[in-house]
Amino acid sequence: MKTLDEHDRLVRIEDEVALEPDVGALSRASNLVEQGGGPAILTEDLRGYPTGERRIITNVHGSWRNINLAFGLDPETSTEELIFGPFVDRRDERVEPEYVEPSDAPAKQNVVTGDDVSLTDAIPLYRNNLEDGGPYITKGVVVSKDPIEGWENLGIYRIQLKDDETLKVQLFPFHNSGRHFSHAMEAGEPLEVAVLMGLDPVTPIVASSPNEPGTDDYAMAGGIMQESVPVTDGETVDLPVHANAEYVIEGTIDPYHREYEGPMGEFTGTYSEIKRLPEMDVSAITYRDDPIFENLIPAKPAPFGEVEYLAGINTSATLYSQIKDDFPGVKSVNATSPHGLMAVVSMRPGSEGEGKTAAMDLMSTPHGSTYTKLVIVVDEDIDPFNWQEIVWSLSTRLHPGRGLTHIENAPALALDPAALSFGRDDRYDMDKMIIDTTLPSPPADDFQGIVLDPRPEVDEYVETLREMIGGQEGEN
Amino acid sequence: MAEDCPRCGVTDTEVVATSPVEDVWTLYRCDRCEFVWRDTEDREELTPHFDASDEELANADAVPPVEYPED
Ligand SMILES: [Zn+2]
Repeated sequence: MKTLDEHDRLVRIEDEVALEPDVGALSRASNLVEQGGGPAILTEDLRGYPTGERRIITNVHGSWRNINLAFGLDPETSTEELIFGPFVDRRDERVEPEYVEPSDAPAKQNVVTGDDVSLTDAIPLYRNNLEDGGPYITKGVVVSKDPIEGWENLGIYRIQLKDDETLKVQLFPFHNSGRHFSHAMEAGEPLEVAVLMGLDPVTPIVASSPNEPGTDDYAMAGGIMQESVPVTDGETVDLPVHANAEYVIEGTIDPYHREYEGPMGEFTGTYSEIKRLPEMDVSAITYRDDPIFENLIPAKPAPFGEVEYLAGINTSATLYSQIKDDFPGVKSVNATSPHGLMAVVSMRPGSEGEGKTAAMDLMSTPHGSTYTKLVIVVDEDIDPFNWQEIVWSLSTRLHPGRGLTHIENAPALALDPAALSFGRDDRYDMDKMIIDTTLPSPPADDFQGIVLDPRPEVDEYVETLREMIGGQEGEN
Repeated sequence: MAEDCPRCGVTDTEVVATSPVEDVWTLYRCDRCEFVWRDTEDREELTPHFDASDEELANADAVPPVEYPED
């Protein structure tokens, strides 16, 4: 927060605001105020709470600039550099979390348990949208442990307030925490969870991305940051919780009970329907002195929202690492478009047709099988993070007869509005598509397929011209 | 002092919480459809498209589906 403030990437709202409609509306406005994502918003005086005792921050990860700053990078660092710097290069590095005694953990400055638990006293929960079924925690990092296999996971899942001691948590079976919950159902045991809010900038990025089951997410975040995540013991659950969190909510989820939840405005820009979700009985809330509740608003991006920035980075890095093993010619993957529903792969195909098979490989990864319905493959000279270059490749290099592949009846993400069948029996049906724009390797004597490289002097002249016109960089 | 549910209209509602500063707001929940709202919100504006009809609730999927263990 200090770094964001120093770089004018934090707006403090000192006037009193209402939890509804102001906090959700400000949160959405912060996505729209600037091309490429706006500043973080800190509301300091919330109606119904003593001034300054409770505060809310949104849009912390709401732009590439904010995230670059979190890494100590120049705010204008390119997305590809950001992803390939910390996230791909340090993907396999693990720095073990550092244990902190509970008495030394800032997250334990205030501890509320048992009958004293009141979610709304501790946390200024609010409703983002008019149709939301209630107040939501949208950026809570859920910690859980597999009751059978023993591995721990961090994941971000939507959480609705039911009453002052109860939350409802969305756990899809194909997510890692969902696997833990499925095992809890098999075992017939409640699942212990802790929800962490207000963390270092990297842990939520790691938590919001599709790491392989069994990944030690705390250690992965430590590897990316090159610094241990401080953890301490849960107050009422046997789970390691982030020692520097602004808030930790602990509790258990009954494996069989479900209650009505939703709708909620989702990252797809539509509302999800009413569902029946498991409930979390809250056993403890711990928080810092003068706590700040960090949250976000999922919505149609403009062009990106906080979900895209938060989840996009490590989703791209994960998909890249997974398909790079099979296809060494893969140069880069952009899965920042909402949650990787679409992905763009740049590569040098090692043989004819490899663009298509690499795309099928991506769609067979754990994340790609459910989320990704469209893969565009471009040659290695096309920047997959530059939409104009992607459109250029579609315009000049696509042969529809050869490049288009339509795959019927694939798994669907239920939140995807295109997957709804609106009253028909086959609910959540989805096809997939590959658009391979890579050029076939030309025979040596076929001049049409030779990529036109600029003369070697061009780069130098670009610099010269830039200086002559006053150092202005071209708009991209 | 209960309020009707702005979403489905039933009168069975509960107070979830009141504001830490007294008499500023009350948060309610509907016993039937589980909608949670604050009494300071404009009821007329709220939830224009969803009314939690019997059919909508009957069709609500359990996620994940409830499966009791064998034996
Ligand atoms: Zn209702």
